[in-house]
Amino acid sequence: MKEKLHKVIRIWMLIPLGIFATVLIGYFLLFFDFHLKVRIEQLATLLNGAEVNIRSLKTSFVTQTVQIQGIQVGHHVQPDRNLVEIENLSFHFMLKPLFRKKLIIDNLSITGIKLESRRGEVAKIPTQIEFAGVPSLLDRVASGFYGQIRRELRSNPLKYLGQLLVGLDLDQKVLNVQGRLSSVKELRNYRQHLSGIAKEWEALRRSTASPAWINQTRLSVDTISPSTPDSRKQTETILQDIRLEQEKILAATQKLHASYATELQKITNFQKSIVDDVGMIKDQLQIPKLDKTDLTGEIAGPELLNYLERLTYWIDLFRRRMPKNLQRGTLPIVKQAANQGASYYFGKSSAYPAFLLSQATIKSEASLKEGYGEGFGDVDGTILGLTTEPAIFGYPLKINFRANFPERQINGVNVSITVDHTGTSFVEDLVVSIGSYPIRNFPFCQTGDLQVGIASATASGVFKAHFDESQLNVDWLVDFLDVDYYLSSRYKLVDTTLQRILDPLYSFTIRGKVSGPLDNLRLETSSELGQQLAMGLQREFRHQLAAIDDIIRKNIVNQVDSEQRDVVARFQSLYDRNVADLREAGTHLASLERQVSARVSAHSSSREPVSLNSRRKHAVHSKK
Amino acid sequence: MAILRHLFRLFDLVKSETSPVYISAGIVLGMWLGLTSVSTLQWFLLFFTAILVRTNLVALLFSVFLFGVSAEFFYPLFNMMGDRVLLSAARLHPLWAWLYHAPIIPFTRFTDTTVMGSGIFCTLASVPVFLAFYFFLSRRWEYLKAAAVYSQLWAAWTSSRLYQRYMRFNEQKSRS
Repeated sequence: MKEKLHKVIRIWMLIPLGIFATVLIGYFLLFFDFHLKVRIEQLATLLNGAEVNIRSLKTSFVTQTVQIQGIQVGHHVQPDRNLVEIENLSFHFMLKPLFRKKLIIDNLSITGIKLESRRGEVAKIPTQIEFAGVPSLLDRVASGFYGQIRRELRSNPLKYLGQLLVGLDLDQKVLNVQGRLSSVKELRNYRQHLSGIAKEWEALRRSTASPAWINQTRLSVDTISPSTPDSRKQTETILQDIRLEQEKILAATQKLHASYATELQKITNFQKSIVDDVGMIKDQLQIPKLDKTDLTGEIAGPELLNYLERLTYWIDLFRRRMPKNLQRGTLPIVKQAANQGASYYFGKSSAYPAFLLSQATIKSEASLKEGYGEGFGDVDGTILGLTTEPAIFGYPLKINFRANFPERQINGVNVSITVDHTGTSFVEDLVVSIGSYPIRNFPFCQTGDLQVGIASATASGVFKAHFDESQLNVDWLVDFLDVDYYLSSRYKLVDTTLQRILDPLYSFTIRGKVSGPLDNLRLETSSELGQQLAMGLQREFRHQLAAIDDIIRKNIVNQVDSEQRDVVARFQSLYDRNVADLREAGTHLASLERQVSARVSAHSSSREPVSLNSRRKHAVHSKK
Repeated sequence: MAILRHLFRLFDLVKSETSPVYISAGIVLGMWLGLTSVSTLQWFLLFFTAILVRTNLVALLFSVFLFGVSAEFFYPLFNMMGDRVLLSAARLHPLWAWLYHAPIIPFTRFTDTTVMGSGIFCTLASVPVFLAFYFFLSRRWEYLKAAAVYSQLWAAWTSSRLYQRYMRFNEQKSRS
C-alpha cells in the first residue's frame, strides 16, 4: 500500500508545502495589513482621480473589525489640499460569509471629517485610469460628449468685445471668406441640379401623347370606313388608346406637382443656409454674437457643464459596479464586465450579495478646541444598502447627510442620493441643497483683453438630478448674494460699459435645466445677470454691430440674394412651361375623346357615320 | 557544493517519471494549469496537485508554457461556451444560484464566462489529450529515446563538466 502511494505521490513534497503554509500564515500576521492599505490607496486614487493616502490600517479576524485612520482624499485642482479628510473609519464584518467569498459589513462608522485640509505632501494625479468593461454610452458622456451643448453655447461674446472697437477692415476679410460660404456653393450646385430637373420634366412630358400623335389618331379615325366589318372595333380600340394617354397625362401632371413641391422645399432651405453663413462669417471675423436675450449659458454654462460631467462620471461608475437585473426568468441575475468576458451573479432568496455595506453612520463634530486643526465640520448622515448586486440585495442605495463647515463658511448642506438598480433599468436621484457657500474667483471671461468675473459672493441653492436609463433631467436654482466683481480690460469703453452693467447686480439668481436623452441633451439657463449683460451690451454696441451687418449684407447677402432670385425664376418658368404643355395636351385629348366616343355611339345605333371634319355640313344637311 | 547538490537533486527530479503515463499526465495537468485563470481556487488545487502527484516535470512545465501562451486565442471560445452554459441554459440557473451562495465554491469563480468555458474545455479535452499522447509515446517511445540520445543537444550535455560531476555524484550516492 505504501509502495503504491509512493508511486503516485511525492511524500517528501509535503515538507515544502508545510513551509509554504507557515509563510502564508506569517504573511497574514505581518504584511497583510500593509498590502491591503497600499491596494486600497491605489484603487481609491484611480476612483478619485487624485492621490488618496491612508495613515494606518488594522484588521482583526478575531474581533472581525477593520480600523482605518487618516484617510486623505487629494484635491484635483489644489494639490496641496485635501478634498476631504477622514480621521477614523471603522467597521465590523461578518466572518461566515467570507467562506462564501462575500464581504458583509453590518456597521460602519465614519468620524472626524475635515474639508479642504492641508496636506503634508502634494497629491499626485494618476496618469492612467482604466476600468474593466466595454465603454458604455455614459462613458462617452463622461468623457466629454456634453460637447453638443458646448457647441450650442457658441463662444463667449465677452471674449471678442474688443474686436468691435479696433476697426476690422471688414471688406477685405469678408471677401476672403466668400469662397467658403455654403449658401453660395449650394446655389451653384443647385443650378447644375436644375438642368437635371429640366431633363427629368422633359422626359415626363415626352412620355405622354404628343400633338403629332393626337393628329395622327384623329386622321386614322376619319379613315375608318363604317362599311368595314370591324370598323366599330377599330374605333373602340382607338378610344381605349386615347383614354390610356389621358391617364398618362394625369400621372405625369401629379409627378410634376410632387417634384415641384420637393424642389421648392430645397429652395426654401437656402434661406437657412444664408443665416448660417452670416453666423459663420461673424465667427470667422470673431465678432461677438450679442443677439441673444440672455448670456447666462455662454458665461456660466461651461463651468456648470464641468460639474455635470463630474456627476455623470460617478453615475457611470455606479452603473458599472452596481449593475441592474438582467431579468432572465424568475431569479435575479446581475452581469458585471470582467477583464476577459463577463461574470454573472445569481440571486437566491435570503442570500447575501458578494459585497454589502448594510449600514454606515457618518458622524463628525466641529470643535474649536486646540489641536483639532482647520476644516472640521459637523456632519450627520447614513449610508444604507451599498452593494455590488442591488438586484440580489433587493433594496436601493440611499445616502443622506447634513453638513456644516463653519470655518469654510459652508452651512446648511443637505444631500440625498438614491441609486436604484434593483430592477431592469438604472434610476438615480440626487438632491443637494446648500444654505450658504462662498464663491471665490468665478470667471466669466479670462483672456488677454478682458478679465471679468465674480471676485467674491455668497451662494445658496438647490440642485436636483434625475437619471433614468438614458434620460437625464437636471434642475438648479442658485442665488448669489453680496456679489463683488473683478474687472480689467484693455479697452476703456468695454471697461466702463461692463462696470455700468455689473454695479447694480449685487444679487441675482441663476436658474437652469438640462434635459433629454443622453445623446441629445438640451440646456436652458437664465439669470438677471445674463439678461442685463445681453441688454446692456446690445445697447452699447448697437452702432458697431449695425455697421458690421451692413458690410456683411453688402458683400455677401445681396450677392447670394440675387443668385437665389435668378435660380428661383428659372425654376418657376421651367415648371410653368411644362405644366402648360401637359394641360394643352390634356385639353386636345379630351376633345378627341369626346368625338371618338360620339363615333362609337353612332356605330352602335347603325346611323351614317359622320366625318370628324364634316359635322357642320351634316348638321346643315339635317336641318334642311 | 551544497548548491550543486540541490541542483543535481533537481536533475534527478526532472529525469524521473519518464514513462508515457507520467508524461501524458504531465501534459494534461499542464493544460489545466495553463488554461485556468490564476486567481481561482482550482488553479491552486491543481498547482498543489502538480507538486504532490508524480508526473513528468519537463512535460508539465512545457505544457503549462504552451497552453499559457496560447490561452489568449482560446478566450473567445471560452467566453462563448461560458455564456451558453451560464446564461442561456435557464434550467441550470437554480443550480448556479445554489453554488454561488454555497461555501468555498464561489472561490472557483465559476460564474466568470472565461473560467467556466476553460473548465468545460479542459474537462472535455483531458481524456482525448491523455490518450493521444499515451498511445503516441507508447508506440514511439524507443525511437524517441534513441533520437534524444543521438541528438547534438544530448551530446553537448553529456560532454559538459556539469554532467561529469553529476555522474560522479550519482556514483557516490549509489555507493553510499
